[in-house]
Amino acid sequence: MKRLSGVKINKLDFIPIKQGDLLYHEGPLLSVFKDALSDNYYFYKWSDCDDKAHRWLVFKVAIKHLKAFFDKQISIRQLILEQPFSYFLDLDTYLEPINIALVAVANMPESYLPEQDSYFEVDDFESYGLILQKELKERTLAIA
Amino acid sequence: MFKYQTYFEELKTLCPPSNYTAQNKNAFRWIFDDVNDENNFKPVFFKNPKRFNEKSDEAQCMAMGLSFFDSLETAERRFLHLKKRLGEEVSKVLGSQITQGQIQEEDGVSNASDINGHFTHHPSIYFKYFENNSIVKQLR
Repeated sequence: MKRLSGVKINKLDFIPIKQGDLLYHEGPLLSVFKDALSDNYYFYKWSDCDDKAHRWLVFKVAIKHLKAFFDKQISIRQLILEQPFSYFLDLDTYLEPINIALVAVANMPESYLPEQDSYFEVDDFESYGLILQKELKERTLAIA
Repeated sequence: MFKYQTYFEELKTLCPPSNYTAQNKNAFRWIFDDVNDENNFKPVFFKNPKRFNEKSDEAQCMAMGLSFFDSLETAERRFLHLKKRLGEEVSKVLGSQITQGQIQEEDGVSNASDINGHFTHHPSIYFKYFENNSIVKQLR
């Protein structure tokens, strides 16, 4: 796996509760988590692997950006670059973290980033995408 | 007799599900650089069974199957869709080339292709895993 330029930390600063998968092929590739103690959403994007671990890029997604993503106004790449820092989480075969790093967006390996046009398309994503999109719309209506 | 029959019998759900049928069809699968890589035709469940401890029996059953596509076009298109959203390294987990083979009725059962041309196949003990390794497309 690529060597990361960042700060090694002991744990994430939120309690992840899995909500669903957006991309899947014989396993999750892009998943949505929510903090158990707040209203913050996080994306877990598969990014790399070796014989010992799979590496996940974990980044916070603000509600307004999440809505913009489902409206195809903002790409996954932009969601990542929007955050000054993101986590990299290396999970072993037992799904136990063996390394957690905080990496500045400027130090993000280019090969870990999605392409410029990495937009939401209903047919390319798992059905959970539509469920979350609907939840966000209902939430907006409730606030209005 | 299915290749993973003993595992199916431990599940509380019918596996393979009743909508899976024996078919004769062309099949395309992503495999790794090394055509002899043991992971090329290993269902995801058996790569890491502990990962599925808390999954439903339906999910475990699905994970004991193998993913295929019904055409070269759908196999390539789905790969490119995922690569676009996940980045260049995705070949390490999905594969780097497409192999083509013929699934016969005695090779097991498959479900119908979805909108992306993807279907899951539960192999019988007779399934030969495309042993001629017919590579039809490089993915990088």
